[in-house]
Amino acid sequence: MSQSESKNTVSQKPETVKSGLKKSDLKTKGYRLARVSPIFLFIEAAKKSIFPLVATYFGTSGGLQDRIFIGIAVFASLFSIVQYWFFHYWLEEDRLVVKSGIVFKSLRQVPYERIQNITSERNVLHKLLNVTTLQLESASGQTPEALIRVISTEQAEYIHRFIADKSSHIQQPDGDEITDETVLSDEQNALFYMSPQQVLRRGLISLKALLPLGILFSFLFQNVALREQSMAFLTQFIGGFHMEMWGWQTWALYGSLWFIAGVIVLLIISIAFAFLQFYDFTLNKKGERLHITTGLLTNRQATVPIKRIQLIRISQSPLHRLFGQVTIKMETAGGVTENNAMSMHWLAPLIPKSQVADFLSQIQSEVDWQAINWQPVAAKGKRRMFKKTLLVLLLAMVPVAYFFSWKALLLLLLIPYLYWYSVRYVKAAAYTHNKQLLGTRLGVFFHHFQFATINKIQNITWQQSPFDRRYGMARLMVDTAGSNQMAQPVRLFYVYDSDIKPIYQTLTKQVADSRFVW
Amino acid sequence: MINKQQTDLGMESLQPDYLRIIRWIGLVVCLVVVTILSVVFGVLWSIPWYFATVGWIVVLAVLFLLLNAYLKHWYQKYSYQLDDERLAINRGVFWQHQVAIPISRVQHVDVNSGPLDRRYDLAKLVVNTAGTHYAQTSLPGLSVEQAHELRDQLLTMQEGDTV
Repeated sequence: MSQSESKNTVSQKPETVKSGLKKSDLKTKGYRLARVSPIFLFIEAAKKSIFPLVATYFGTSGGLQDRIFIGIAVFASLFSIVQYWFFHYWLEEDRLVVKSGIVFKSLRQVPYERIQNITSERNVLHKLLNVTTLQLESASGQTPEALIRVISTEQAEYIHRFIADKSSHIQQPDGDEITDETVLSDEQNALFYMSPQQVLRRGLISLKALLPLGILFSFLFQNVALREQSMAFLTQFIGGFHMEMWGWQTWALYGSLWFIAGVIVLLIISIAFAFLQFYDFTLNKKGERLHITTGLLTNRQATVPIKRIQLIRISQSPLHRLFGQVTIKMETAGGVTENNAMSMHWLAPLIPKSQVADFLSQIQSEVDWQAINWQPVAAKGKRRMFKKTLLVLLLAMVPVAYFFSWKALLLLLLIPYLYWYSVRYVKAAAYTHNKQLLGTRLGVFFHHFQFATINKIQNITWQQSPFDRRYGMARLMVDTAGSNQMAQPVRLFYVYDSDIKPIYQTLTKQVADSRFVW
Repeated sequence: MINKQQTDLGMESLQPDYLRIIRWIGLVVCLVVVTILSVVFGVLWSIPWYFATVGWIVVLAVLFLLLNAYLKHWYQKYSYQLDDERLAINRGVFWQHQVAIPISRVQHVDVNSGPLDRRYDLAKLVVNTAGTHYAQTSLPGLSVEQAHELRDQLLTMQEGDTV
């Protein structure tokens, strides 16, 4: 009742907003991108072409040919701005039409019913110029249906409202008319909200800075000129300490101080990353959709229908365990893949382990997350695992033996560790199968959990290798939509065939009986 | 050696002509491999031409016989079954697979037939699901009528399911 009322008022509002905005009518008459949009188009093209080239420029010799390549890339990026004049879109009664392309024209018609996700992004530059990037996803394909790079924020909200109004399943956006009070209550109502302390913890745990710092250092040492410069800087810096006069105590003291300083820098950068990405991460459940907002400088908003969640991954590193936390990610169908920064893959960047079951039951109420019954894999699996690790060790010994002769035998000291690892690995591995889902648990140090609900399973593969056959075991793999090609599918292994076959049969029946809805 | 208790009843096997096709392909592969081998050996060592010829034939024969035996088992293991719930496909000699594609998950179905297939009036059925890693499952070695019939069955059953 009240909802339909509010819907009416909301649909009234854009009219006023729009009329204040532009003279253009609804239907057929095309909207264009915002006037500042060439800046964003250029930045986007530059991100893809120039920055990698500049990176390789510093990474390699820096000769003439590199400069030519960079020149070409700059020109190509500038050229990409031209698409601004060729990008038109308009809203029809039942569909959004996007006309684009300079030489190869494309006319894309996206029915509102088919639009599944609407993601909007605003970074600092967006905010300064009062514009928004809007991404519309349907259930199919690896690319978004429409990526409208930069239109005025009012227009973006208007489109969002318009689509929400026409579609049966897209949620109305939170307009800017919401006052501070309602935002506060929103936070309290939120299914999941990341407090600043939690974001801080996320930074400490994720150590996101490790990778970029590693890349930076490898750059510094790859380029000859840069390496000499940085080495000169270092020797000059360290020379002041008169290293030749140091005793071991001084070495230990300075070494540990440097180490601690390095760790602190690493942590600070990681925390900064976490704040940039996850500050104010709020997940709301509105009807059958999840509404997610996150980001400090770059604000991202995403609407994800719950039924589009194909797979849930929970991971826990040793550091996570120290704080009693886990990370929950989801895979959504239509798989606009992860390297497209705009799609949302986070359910909870960091959540206390004790709250996971509650949290997930609130999202997928049809699944009984409280009563997950883990079945251990066959204990004999540890023998197979141990043999496998031994084989890897032997293979690793070959090159070591080539360079260091008999010292390669020292690697054999690892055998007790490998045995311990195999035992722990098989102990940790488990699976669960019930009326609603199939799940696996894996990992000695880094725990990974995967859950696929029955109605999202696409096909089931039973497999038996000669080694499996020897132990009377088999494996089972289950495929879901929208997954990452690189990521592991849900698989059960080291399980006796007598256990797998019934699962395979019942699972096939369960899946056949259930309906797949995008 | 090869698991016998596992031959599920009611599984249908492929057309015998398909075995011929894969044997032809196997022969070509053997020829290519043996030719490359003989070139490599000819460069490394100088062998009198009569030994070389005999060796060439012997290696080719052994290779082809081995492959032939493998292909025969491979062909025999390859089987499929369509019931009202799923299409199941068995394959693999050493690494054995059984794929079950629930009919409710079928997205679209292709029927392909290459030049060799057409020579024997065969076709390949390709079933697509929305999955990521094993989105496509193909079933070669069907007669054209079989393939079309399977396709129609899959699609009509699937329609009845989703609408």
